[in-house]
Amino acid sequence: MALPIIECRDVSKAFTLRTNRQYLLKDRVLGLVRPQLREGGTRFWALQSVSLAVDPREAFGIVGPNGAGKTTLFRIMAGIFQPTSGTVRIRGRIAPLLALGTAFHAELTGRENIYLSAALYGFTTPEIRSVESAVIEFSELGHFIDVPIKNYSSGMQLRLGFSIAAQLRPDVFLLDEVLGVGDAHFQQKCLRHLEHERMIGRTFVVVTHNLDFVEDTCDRAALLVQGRVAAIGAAKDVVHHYRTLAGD
Amino acid sequence: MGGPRGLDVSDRPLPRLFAYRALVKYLVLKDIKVRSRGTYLGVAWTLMNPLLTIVMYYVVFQYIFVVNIPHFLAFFLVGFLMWVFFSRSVNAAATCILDNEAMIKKSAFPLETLPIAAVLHHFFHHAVALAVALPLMLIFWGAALSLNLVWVTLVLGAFACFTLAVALWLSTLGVFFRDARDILDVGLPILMWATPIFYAPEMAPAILRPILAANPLSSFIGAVRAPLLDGRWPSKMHLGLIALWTAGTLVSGAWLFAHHSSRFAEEV
Repeated sequence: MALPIIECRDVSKAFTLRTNRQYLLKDRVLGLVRPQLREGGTRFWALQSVSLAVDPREAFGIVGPNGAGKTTLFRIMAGIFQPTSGTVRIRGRIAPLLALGTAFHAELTGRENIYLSAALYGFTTPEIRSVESAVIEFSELGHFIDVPIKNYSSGMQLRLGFSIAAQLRPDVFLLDEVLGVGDAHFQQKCLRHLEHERMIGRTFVVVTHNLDFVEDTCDRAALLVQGRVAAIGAAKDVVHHYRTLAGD
Repeated sequence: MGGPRGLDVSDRPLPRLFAYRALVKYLVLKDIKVRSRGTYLGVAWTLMNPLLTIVMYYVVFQYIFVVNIPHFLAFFLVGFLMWVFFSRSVNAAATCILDNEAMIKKSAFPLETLPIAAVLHHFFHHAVALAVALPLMLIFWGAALSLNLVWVTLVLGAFACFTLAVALWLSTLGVFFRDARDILDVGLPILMWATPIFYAPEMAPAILRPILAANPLSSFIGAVRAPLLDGRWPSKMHLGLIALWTAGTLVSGAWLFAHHSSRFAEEV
């Protein structure tokens, strides 16, 4: 049995909730003498002792109600957040892909955004050049590729975002609600692409509310409730458990 | 194996930063393009801006305020252009993490690239401004062409490193103290007048001299003026102070940034 490609051990994450989002210098200075002003807020545990392992070539679903900590776990796996305690080990290259695409810049054209986004994933200029035409072709944006992103519809932006990620060839794809990308035709195309990527041995971690998709596509799944793993196991069982819980 | 490598980068900070050099390049290009997009003159403004500024100060100091410092226009422009580079870089750095919130929350990349790109963007404008001003200084305004000009390049290089160091400090502080921007609004004009840009340090009364000497910007500006205007080496004191300031702020700034950047994504 190969080692798990993603291994979360006892991962907990606390956020400090501030009633006033602005953290002024005054509060810091006063906090030195009046402890009750220090950090001015309550600690909120978004994740508590989450342990899970994803095996290579597996499709793993993460489901749960809103505010259960799914996106926090996603960001910790992607390396965007550091856990407050516990450890995360990733044995391979990982590409996070969020529903809203990468951070496109509105004033830049689609083509310029390909370069910026791919560089954000650590690509060098020659590497980006070598995938540029494949990205444009997959996105089906045609001559719109040289138009500023601010003139794109949201569907067009999502298409470009997915097309860039599709060329990354990582070991693990982290997907956060990206399955509803664009129109029916493009959705089908994305699903076919992901299916192909699965066939050639890539690992998938999918955060989604689409339970049918998890049931049909994922091997295993975890149910998060209030920052804890409430169930983990075969995707069908976990989804069934979640549906019973939700009184469906 | 062919195909793109991407993603396949080291965990150690410096090799990781180097692996993301293309990102720095496209962030700088983004700043330059976004600034000129939608304008009629486009990138030509990069050249027009320093040119018009220099013409304006030429008229002011040649015909209105006549100052009793030899080669005053060249003397002033050296300090002024360095100040513009420093203050614009520092202002941009103070908000560079907050301005790129969307990027930071959606992908994992070395965040050092953001202040580095902010400083490089303004260094580009500074280099263009110098390319306009240097020939004028050498031909008309009494600057001396000599091998000592190598010092100008070296000191400006150190100045860029020092500015980056201050940028690392301020970009970190800007995340945790939102007041940083207001403090800069008030603090930068004070710092400008505490820097010998419009005057020579010798003109200040003895009581204020220690303040000027403690200001790192006066050492940098003095060490560029000496070789450029008088054709001599920068003073040993200036060079020593420059080495200390650059090394000290760069080491502390890099440490500060590295130890807090893992929390930026949740603080912005």
